[in-house]
Amino acid sequence: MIVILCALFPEAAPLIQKLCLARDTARTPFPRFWNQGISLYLSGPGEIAAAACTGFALGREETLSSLHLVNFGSAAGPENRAGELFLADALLETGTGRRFYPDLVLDAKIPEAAVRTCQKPADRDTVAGANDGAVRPVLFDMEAASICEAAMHFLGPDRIHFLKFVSDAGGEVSLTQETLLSLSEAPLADVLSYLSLIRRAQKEEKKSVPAVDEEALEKLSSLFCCSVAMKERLSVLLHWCALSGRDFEGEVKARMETGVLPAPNRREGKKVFDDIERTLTMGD
Amino acid sequence: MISSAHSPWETDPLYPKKFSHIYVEEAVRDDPVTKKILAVFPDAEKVPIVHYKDVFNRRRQNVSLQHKCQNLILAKRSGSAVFPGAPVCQSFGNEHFYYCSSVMNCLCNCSYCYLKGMYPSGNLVIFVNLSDIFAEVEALLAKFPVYLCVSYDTDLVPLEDLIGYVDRWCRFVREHENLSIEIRTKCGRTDLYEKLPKTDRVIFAFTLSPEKIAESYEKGAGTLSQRLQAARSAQEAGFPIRLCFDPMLYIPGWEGMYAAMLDEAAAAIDLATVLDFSVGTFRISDEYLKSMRRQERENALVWYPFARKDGYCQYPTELAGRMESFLAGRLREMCEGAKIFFWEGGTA
Repeated sequence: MIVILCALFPEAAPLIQKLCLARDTARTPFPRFWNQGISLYLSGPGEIAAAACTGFALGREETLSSLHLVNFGSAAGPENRAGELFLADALLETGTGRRFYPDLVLDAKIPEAAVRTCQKPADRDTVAGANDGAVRPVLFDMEAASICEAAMHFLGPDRIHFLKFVSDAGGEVSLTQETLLSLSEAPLADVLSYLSLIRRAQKEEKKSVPAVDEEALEKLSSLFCCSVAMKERLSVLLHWCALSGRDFEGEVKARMETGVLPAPNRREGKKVFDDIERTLTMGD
Repeated sequence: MISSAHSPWETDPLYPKKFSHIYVEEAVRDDPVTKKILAVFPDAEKVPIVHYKDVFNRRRQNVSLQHKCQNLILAKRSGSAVFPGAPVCQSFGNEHFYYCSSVMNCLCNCSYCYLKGMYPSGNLVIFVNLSDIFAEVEALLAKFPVYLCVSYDTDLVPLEDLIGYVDRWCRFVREHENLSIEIRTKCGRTDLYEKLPKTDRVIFAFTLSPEKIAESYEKGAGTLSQRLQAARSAQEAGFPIRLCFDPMLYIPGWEGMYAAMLDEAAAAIDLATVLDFSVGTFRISDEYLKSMRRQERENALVWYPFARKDGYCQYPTELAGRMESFLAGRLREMCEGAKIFFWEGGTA
């Protein structure tokens, strides 16, 4: 699953169209658009709305194990970089001074920038001052750091991504919806490539994690009359056998045939379990 | 530039190159070591940070993934960097046994490495203020002679062209008569030792593993034959060498593999000239193991059903004893009078 958060509809519209996302008709506090494997939410502008939306979007997901979160939207930045897309590698919440560093573990060819998140739109002097003589671009937005802070309650820093395009140089001039829409269309190809990289990473993760058969664990646990601690040992042994190609099932079958299993009580079960563990882990 | 007989700089093609990002603490931005390192990686994204822990100590980091595309953090070590040796580490008969941490994490990516459970991050931290660590060691030396392991939570040798700490430690030892250090490595480079200032109080300790283990579980480290060549180079350059058969790993066919390893070692090095040997089966703190298991669901080495004893996880006593006795016994057969050390909880 990839969860995309955008503050405003014009920022999200090109993605909604390109990814064929359908409006979720259920009543939710934040508008949601979705398709297989992707949910896009509109948080509304500002830090509090963005953090609330992050909590809502991630909190309702049943499994977070391979979920990635992408914040896509506009930011103020250097005048000569207008329209460019950046990947944020450092975030600063200007009110608290808290800093966040997403892990950039995907080999994306997108230039990077620092992002400062403010409660109000940054003025022109602030944006220019931060970028004057700076080696790296400094962008200003109203959501990224708060999204990151909220998301880190759910996800690791390698699963939180910030893609920001420069919409203006700061100041009082408010962008029209049409301008914002056209600016957010420009980097669409790069954003879609980035989403593909995330999907590839998700596939890799799925390949590398062996499945845990909870049902088999329960059955075996009752076979041995396991205590809580012994069930934990059983779980470790099963996992190790699966990884190292040891035949746990064969050992159990052999003991079923001789009538040692199912064990009549916990004490006898432990004896049989110890015997199997010893056979499997110390037999060369 | 960075020369090596092995490949700790190789990266999985799916991920960005090693050190694609270098996080630099503001306090060390202008440090000469920082500048030297940054000059080696002109294409890296340099991200300024206030404190290394802002990056290194983040919650929920994917340590395994970070090892595949490791980033670098340049920082200043504040507070103590020299610590008394842990019970699972061998003191080799030294009374005042310490270790120090000038670098955190390692270029190698060994599947069983305790650092993956000890640190919240897989990124490499280099503390550029080595001279402050020297001062701390000098304070200890004013009280008693010190035996110090300087390459425990890292492997300094593959980093030498980048930071030059091995050379600086050798010089420091030569200036301090009551200091002996151990530099432990799995690096296979042979070109370093003749260039270093000579002293018999710097012990180069080479961790050796059977070739199959080195190939399968010690990514980025030298092959067995490379490490043996390196050990010979160190010896020929006048340094005492230690051979560490530690950690021994329990895998199918272990006896044959460890026997073959000893034969190869004896063919490459006159074992009688080795200062001493260390033998130990894999053991790890309970907490570190828990953390590694959370991160590494597919790693059979860390999912072995270890026995728990005094907060440490290790192979069952009978198995550990069998493995350690086997190796120590063979070693004694091959090298009469070999000085062999076992860790405190060792069984042989």
